[in-house]
Amino acid sequence: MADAVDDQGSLTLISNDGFQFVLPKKTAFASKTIRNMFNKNSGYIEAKENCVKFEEMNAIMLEKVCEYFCYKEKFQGVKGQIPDFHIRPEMALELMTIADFLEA
Amino acid sequence: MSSKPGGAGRIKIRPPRRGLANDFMKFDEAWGLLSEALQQIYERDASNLSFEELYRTAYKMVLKKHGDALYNSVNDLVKERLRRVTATQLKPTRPTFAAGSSAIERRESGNRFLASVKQAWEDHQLCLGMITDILMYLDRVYCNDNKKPSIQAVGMSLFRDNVLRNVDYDIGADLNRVLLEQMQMERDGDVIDRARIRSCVYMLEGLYETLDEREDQKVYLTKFEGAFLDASDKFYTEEARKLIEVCDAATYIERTNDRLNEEWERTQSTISTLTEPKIRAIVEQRLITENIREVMQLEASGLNFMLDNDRFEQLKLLYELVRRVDTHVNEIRRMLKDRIVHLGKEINKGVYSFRKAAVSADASGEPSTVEDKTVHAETLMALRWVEDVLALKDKIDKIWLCSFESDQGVQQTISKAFAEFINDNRRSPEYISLFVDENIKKGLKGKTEAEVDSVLDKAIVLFRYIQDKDIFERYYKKHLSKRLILGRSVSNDVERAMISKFKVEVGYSFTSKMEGMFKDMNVSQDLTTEYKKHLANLHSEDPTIDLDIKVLTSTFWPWSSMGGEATHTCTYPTELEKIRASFQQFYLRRHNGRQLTWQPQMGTADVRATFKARKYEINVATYALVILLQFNDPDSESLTYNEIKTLTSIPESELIRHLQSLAVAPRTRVLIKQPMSRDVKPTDKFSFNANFTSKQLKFKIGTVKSMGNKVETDKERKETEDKVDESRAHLIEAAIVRTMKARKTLKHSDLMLQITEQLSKRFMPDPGMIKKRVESLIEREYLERDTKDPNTYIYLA
Repeated sequence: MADAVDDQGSLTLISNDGFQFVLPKKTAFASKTIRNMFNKNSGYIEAKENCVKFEEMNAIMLEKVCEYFCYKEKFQGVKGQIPDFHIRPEMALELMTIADFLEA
Repeated sequence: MSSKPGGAGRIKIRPPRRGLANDFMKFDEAWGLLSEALQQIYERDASNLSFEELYRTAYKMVLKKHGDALYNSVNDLVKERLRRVTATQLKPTRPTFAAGSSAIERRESGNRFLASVKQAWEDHQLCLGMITDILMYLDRVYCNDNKKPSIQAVGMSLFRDNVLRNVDYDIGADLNRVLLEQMQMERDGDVIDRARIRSCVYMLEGLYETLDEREDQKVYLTKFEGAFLDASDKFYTEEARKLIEVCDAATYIERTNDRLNEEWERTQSTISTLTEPKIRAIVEQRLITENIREVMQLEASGLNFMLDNDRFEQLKLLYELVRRVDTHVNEIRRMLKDRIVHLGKEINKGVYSFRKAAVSADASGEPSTVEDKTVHAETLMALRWVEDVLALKDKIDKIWLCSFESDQGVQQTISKAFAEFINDNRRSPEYISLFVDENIKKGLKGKTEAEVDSVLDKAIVLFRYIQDKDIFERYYKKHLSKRLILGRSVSNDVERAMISKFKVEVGYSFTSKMEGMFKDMNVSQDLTTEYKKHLANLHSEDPTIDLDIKVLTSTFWPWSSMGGEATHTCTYPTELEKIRASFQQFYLRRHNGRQLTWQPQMGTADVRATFKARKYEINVATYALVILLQFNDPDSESLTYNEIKTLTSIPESELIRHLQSLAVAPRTRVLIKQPMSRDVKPTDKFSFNANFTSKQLKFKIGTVKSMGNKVETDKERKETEDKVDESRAHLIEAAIVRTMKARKTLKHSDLMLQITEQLSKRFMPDPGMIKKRVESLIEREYLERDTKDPNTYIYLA
């Protein structure tokens, strides 16, 4: 069932303060939660409108999340030296809960 | 991955903006939202639902420790839903199984039922999938932490308990019945909706008896498969009975094969591949193991019929079927062997009955001529026997190649069968040797080398089957020696090829004497040339006789079978005696200390004889020449038998034979006998027939008993057997001494085993014979019995 997801094209992620981030679907599907949202068989509103509104995230966090998605996609499967992903200490805890939420 | 902010966070780390502790949340409210959404999912109308919102709600509920309540509520909701579906959707389509309903009705109602089950299952799966997605966080955190089965697993078991095993309606049993009924319809030749059945089977495969979803606990295996196998078993038991009653073997085999394919296909396309080995075992058991024997034994169409009529395809199919249940195909092998032995014995019987007739004719007719005729006819018989055996072999080999996939085991069986009936015919070694003789003498002319080779190879194949190889060796040597001395073989190459083939089969010891014979022939040729040179050097004034001598080593050549061990002497006329003495002198000068024994009974001579009409060139045996030369003296008008006997001192039996051929045989009557009768009596008078005429300028006077290779008469045969026994006795003794010398002491049974093994290449030693030999060796003090254990022998050096 999970395979009935089309990972072509792009989607929009919206923060609770109105910022929009456009990502390739493939990249955003690093999050299992986001992936599930776009399951065609279920036909949720997100899949229909091709965008997700995160009521609990502000732009700063969401930006970092998007950065992480890109980072992950870039270095996935790369062997050898991988640069560190820098997170400012004050964001760390909140990002952790978000990671839990998104299953990323 | 704690979701709670640590109390001792550093100043710089901001806690999550909305502290979860502060985030007020009521379970009822949240559940209200979720259950509403789940209902909508069940109505297949999720387009207005925000996944993010639902997920977040469930997420929060878990964080707020409402996981337990959420878990139970969801399960209750799903259960409720499934109950309703069963009652409203499945119940109306339950098939009736009424006794009176026709096949079409049943099929239709079954189809409807399957369709609705399938529909319910698919709905359930889809919705459950969506619910699982939303409640992923619940699965991940709550179920994991509390060791509860996942929503998915619970959902599946709910389906099992509330649909298939609904307390009110036994949907599961109905499903089984419908499925089996549909399979039965297909077996009977109806078309069914395989895809639909397939999806229902999938469903059963997707459900498990327990929540931990063990592979061997699939509902398919626990509930359906057993019933299916039972039904199949019944069906095929019945099917086998029916088929065997009405069909011939070919049809039976084809149907069985079809059934096997059908069931295989069924497991691939309709039910689970898990069942494949089991259903196959059932079909194989019922249709093949239990009945194939009976089928093969069917009189008019069974295995024997197929073999006799070269039904390659059927045999192949049969072989494949039987091999499924028995990799050694023992059943086929047993019957095949019986059949071959039967056919072989038929061939043998031809020979036996012929011999019987011959023997009775022998008793009534004149002994000598009748015997002669029967010997001739029997030689043909022997050749036909070999050809028949070869034809059978060819036929069986072809079947083996085409139908039995060149199975090694089957080949063994074939070999055993051939060996059995070939050895059953006591004369087979002689016949086979005759066959080779015949082919080398004339059959191979005008054939290519490859053809020659194949004929010889065939002979070798038969040779391989012979148990008493020493008997064959004896005959072969006898036949070979005649071929060589009389110059009857087509080519030396062929002879040598044959011998090297024997060598490959049984080793050097078997052929060494034969090779010695060849060597003698070559040496003799050289000797003859040298002798001629020698004569030329001497300016001998005796050009009228051209001597072609063959000096044979006595141990290589089978004297006894070539004319008895008694030395044949005769008084040579002066012309011959001169040249004989001259050669003997020549030879002994070259090889000092050797002894030359002359064998006039083996020789032939070309004589130019002048009759009144004209000169003829006659080829006669040496003895005949000696007789004829007695008439060279124009003074002696006629000679009595006794006179000839005294003059020539040819042994009596030989003399009679040669006189018969010279004076009695109608076409070659160069002597006149008085009185004119068939028998030669001591008082008979012979004179030169000056009026002799013949159409041919050159001709041959054969002796009454021809020199060609013929089947032995019973008397000769008896002699051969005695000889064979004698030489076997020597071989056995030699083997015993060899073994005992190496082992010093040996138990009786071990010795027997060793000896049998050593000699089995040449013949099968008879245990009684070995015992006798052992006794004899003990008497001669080569061996002694152990005083403590009389079963053990000790070698005395």
